[in-house]
Amino acid sequence: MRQRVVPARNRCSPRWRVTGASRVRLLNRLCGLETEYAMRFRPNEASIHKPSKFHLYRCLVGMLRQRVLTVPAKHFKEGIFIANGGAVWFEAERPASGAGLVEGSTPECRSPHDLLVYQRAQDRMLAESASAGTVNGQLSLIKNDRDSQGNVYGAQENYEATIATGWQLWIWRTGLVAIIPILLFAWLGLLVMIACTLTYLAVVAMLYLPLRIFRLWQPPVAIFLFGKDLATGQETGNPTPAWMEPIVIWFTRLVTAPLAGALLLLVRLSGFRQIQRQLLPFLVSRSLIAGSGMVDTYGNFHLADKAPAINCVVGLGGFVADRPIFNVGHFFKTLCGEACFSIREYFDLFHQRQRLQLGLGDSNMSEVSEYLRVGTTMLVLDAIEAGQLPSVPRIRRPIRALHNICADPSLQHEIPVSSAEKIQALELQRFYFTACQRFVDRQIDVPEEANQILAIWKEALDGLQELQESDGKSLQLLGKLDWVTKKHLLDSALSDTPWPALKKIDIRYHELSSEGYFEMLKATDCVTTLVDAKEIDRAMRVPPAGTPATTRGHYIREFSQEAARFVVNWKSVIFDQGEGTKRVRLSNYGKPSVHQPAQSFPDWQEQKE
Amino acid sequence: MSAVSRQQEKVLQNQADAAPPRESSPTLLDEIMQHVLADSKCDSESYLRETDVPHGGE
Repeated sequence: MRQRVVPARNRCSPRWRVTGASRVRLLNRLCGLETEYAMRFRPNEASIHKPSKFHLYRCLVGMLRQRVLTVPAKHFKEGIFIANGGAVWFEAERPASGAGLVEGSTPECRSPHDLLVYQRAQDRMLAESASAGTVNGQLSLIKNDRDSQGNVYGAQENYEATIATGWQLWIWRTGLVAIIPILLFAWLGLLVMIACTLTYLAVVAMLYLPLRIFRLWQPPVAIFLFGKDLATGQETGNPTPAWMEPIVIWFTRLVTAPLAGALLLLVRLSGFRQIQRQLLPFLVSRSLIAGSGMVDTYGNFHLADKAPAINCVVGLGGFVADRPIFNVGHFFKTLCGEACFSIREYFDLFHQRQRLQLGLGDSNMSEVSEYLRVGTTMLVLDAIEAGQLPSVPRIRRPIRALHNICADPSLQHEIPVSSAEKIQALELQRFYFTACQRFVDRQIDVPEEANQILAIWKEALDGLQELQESDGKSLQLLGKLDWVTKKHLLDSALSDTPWPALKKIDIRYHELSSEGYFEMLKATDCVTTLVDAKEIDRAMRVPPAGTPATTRGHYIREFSQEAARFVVNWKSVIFDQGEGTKRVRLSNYGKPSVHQPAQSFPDWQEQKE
Repeated sequence: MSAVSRQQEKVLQNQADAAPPRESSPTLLDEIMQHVLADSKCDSESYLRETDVPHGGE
């Protein structure tokens, strides 16, 4: 029998500080998912020139526009908003290289079930648009987090949460004021960079026109100078030529580095501190129930696709190759970009309720895994914010613990926690499950969904326990948890199966087409579904109730085919009426079931600019 | 009963209606497993190249 360092009862029993019933509104916070999809293109004929990813994205969006109402997004990157309040973007770290991804953002939802439905609606819309594309080949999307070269992308979660209370909130707000000089320096640097880029493009354009008239211009020269062949219009989605891209990126990092450092310091002192401390052990062990599984370059199996690439607890998400669990990059983007054009964006950062973004989490194919990922996290957040989560074990070296947990599909690995104790990831999950169950039991008005999440969570943990005790032979969770299902497929392969074939199983499991392995498994009874086709059909057209998406979707449905200049972003709807711009802010979105927003909410702020 | 309650009840009913795993259609599952194993060995390297995402994402 395995030697345990500390008796399980001592390690897993939450110590309670509160007594008596309480009234907390459970599962009632804004939440949303961002998912990056890889594009796989196979030309019909080998001779066909391979289009850029940006071109494929444009084809996909063209097909999507034929299916649902859309409007252009007013944002720093190319994108559209959909009638259900969600959005589709072209995401590229280095667009000039021809690479890139399709990114889908669900509308803001209020419950895990809604979020699951809208995520599935997004998957279906994008997959159908890809398969109906007009390019000379087959386009399909891969909903995963890592390619065969180890490049990482994938999913992010967003939850409305309290950034701080008491003196920490005071520090947060004071810090936002104190960084203004650093902010102004960053803006100045960015303005200089933009001015230099525009001057360069203007000078080159003046040279281009006469040479073009006399037909002395060659496409390769145009691509070198402009980043695109102006004659054919073959675009990469990048406004600058490829050689300029690294210069722009590094110059941007240089001038914004002081701001990045100041923001990270501020977050370390006061931003989401309580949530970070109490949620971290849960997230470190969450791969057990929500990991998608992954084969590494040595052929070893990991529980999660993205977790092995995570390298810090808090970070800006890609500023200096950081891949954090808690991503505060959206604060940084707001300060560097949006606040430069609207002072209101800056003052919005002073609110107590802010967006908590999690970079640790996989794109799931299984509905059960996806539902558990969001539902359990929301329950734990509810318990934390209600002050009713017992003292959690403090993990030493959490990133190393995360990697070690994910590298052990036998679920036996023990991670060191405070007081020289050791604990298994499954025991950590049991701790949070028990804590949440007691928290829910103590509430007066409990939504049925809370009990549903607890029931599925318990079933998953019991199944994992059985899997652990049977040395991985139990099939109870086949078709329910992604990593268990993928591992079963991989284990079925012969021992001499070459690595590319194993990796193909790993990746094609996530392909959103009839040839995708998980899609095939859906035809069997072993895959458990939680939403039905009618719910998904509706979610493709109608936004969720009681969120900013409700209002956004209303305007898109009403005006997308009328107003000549009508753009949308996450915070407002903007009309260009010729005489001026009218902006409808979405922050006062009001109560659930809004069908006539203009009548229901006469106090909407409509600003003439 | 509220619309949300009805919806949750429907979801729970769907779960309850789901047939017991594996035993109900072993032939179909086996067929799919065989297909997956055969397909994974076919053109796997070119498939991996087609799905590569240089530089990754956000």
